[in-house]
Amino acid sequence: MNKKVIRILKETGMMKDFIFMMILRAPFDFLNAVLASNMLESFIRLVERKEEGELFPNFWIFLLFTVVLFGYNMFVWAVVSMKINIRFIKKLRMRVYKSLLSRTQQEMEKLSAGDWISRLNSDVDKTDLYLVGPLNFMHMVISVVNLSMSAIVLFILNHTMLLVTLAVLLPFFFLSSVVVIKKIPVFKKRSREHYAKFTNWMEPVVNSSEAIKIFEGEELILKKAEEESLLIMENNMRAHKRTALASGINTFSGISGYLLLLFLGNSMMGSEIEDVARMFKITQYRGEMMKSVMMLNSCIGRMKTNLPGAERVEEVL
Amino acid sequence: MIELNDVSFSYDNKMIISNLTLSIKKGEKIGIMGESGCGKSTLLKLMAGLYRADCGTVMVDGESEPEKISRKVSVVMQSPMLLPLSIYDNITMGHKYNPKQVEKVVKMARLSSWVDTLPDRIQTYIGDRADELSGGQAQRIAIARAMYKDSEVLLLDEPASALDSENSKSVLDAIMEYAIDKTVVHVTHQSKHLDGYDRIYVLKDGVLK
Repeated sequence: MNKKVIRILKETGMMKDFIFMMILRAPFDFLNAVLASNMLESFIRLVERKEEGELFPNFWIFLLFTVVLFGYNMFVWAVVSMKINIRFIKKLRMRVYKSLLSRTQQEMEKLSAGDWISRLNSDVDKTDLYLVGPLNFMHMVISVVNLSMSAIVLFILNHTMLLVTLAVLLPFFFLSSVVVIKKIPVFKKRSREHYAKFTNWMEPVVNSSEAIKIFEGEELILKKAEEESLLIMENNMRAHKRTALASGINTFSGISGYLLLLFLGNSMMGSEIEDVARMFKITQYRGEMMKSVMMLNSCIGRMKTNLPGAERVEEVL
Repeated sequence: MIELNDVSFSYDNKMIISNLTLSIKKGEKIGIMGESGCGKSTLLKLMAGLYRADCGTVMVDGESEPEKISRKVSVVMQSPMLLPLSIYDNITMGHKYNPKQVEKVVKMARLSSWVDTLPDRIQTYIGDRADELSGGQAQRIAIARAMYKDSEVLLLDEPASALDSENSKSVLDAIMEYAIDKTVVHVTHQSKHLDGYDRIYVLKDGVLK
């Protein structure tokens, strides 16, 4: 996690709550993967052994586990996370407000009114998104746990398959996260700066409306606000293009890896190193690794998108 | 030039202007005095088309619709309303650039000596915080803006009240020099600012005396 975000958590006194929330959520995806892969393996084995009668009891057992798992996610984790999240936003906004009120006039004058307002409003929201929003820090931790655990299981099941999976995953991950996503925060920071300037234009519209009307300055104001609006859009589009390119790379990596695995799996089954049930199980864990890396990439991209907002909040604290 | 006929205006159920009638000819200089809160600024805003009268008519240069009146007048307020733009943009407000006219109003508003010391001269960004400039400098920019619009009617709402005596005299002299053939309505609570005016009224209880 970014040092500045850690400082925000410490300043708001929410570090322990946040860690607690993360521990509660982190193993969910991996447990779900274990359940799905074992269910698939077990069903295929039962069909292979022609024990169709056992299919139904097995189905109920897996259904029970699935209900328990999703029930926990919906009724335990969702409730806890919602409460912690609401408390965090409330505390952070008040902390930023308090910090603004304690500043001297000289300090306040260093930034424009629009800049202060956007730090208090949208930048606080960006900080919250960074920590608990979909495909941000929380999901990054989940994906790292899922990736590591799936890799361990895959190593135990068949280390050749793990090596093949990693050989496809790592170059693409590097290309996507280091080369493509790296520039996103730069565009997003520029976009935030123009957003602050755009907000600045609200002040004369409200406070100098008389002068604008008398001296027919409406067009000038609209032109200036539009210039800022275009720059916000331009920088957001650049960031968005990078995100889309990263997604494309991930998808291409997924398809290539899958094809390679099919060839390899076919030859392993042909030489009776692995049977069909185990191959399905292996494919499941390989799929989990792929999914986790894609999720990790998306999380890194989105975190970089929201980080400038969090950094601007930290500057205020 | 300016005709107010039986004009009344209330704000939050409080009568500010009551059945006021006033006629101002072209080129006349009118002073309106009164205590703080007596409605001087409201009267000026009615003449500027910024407020609509509850009843009665306000006519400026043949126009009676507030939106059209606003286009016919120039106003200098007590606190100059500057935009986060360059000095040039604050003067021209995005209208057609006329370099000679800009140069002329900058000189007339006695801004030249200060502007010449700035790094980007007339294109210098003045920011959106009034205290980056002195009160006199900000007010002179507002006056240059009013001069650049070059309306026949100039409305002044205590343009020198926030300035020291030296700046105050300089700003008022600059305005009077420019407005020699204009119709001027000047509201103030200081009688010394109205020397040489054609008529001086006192606004009390919503009525001119």
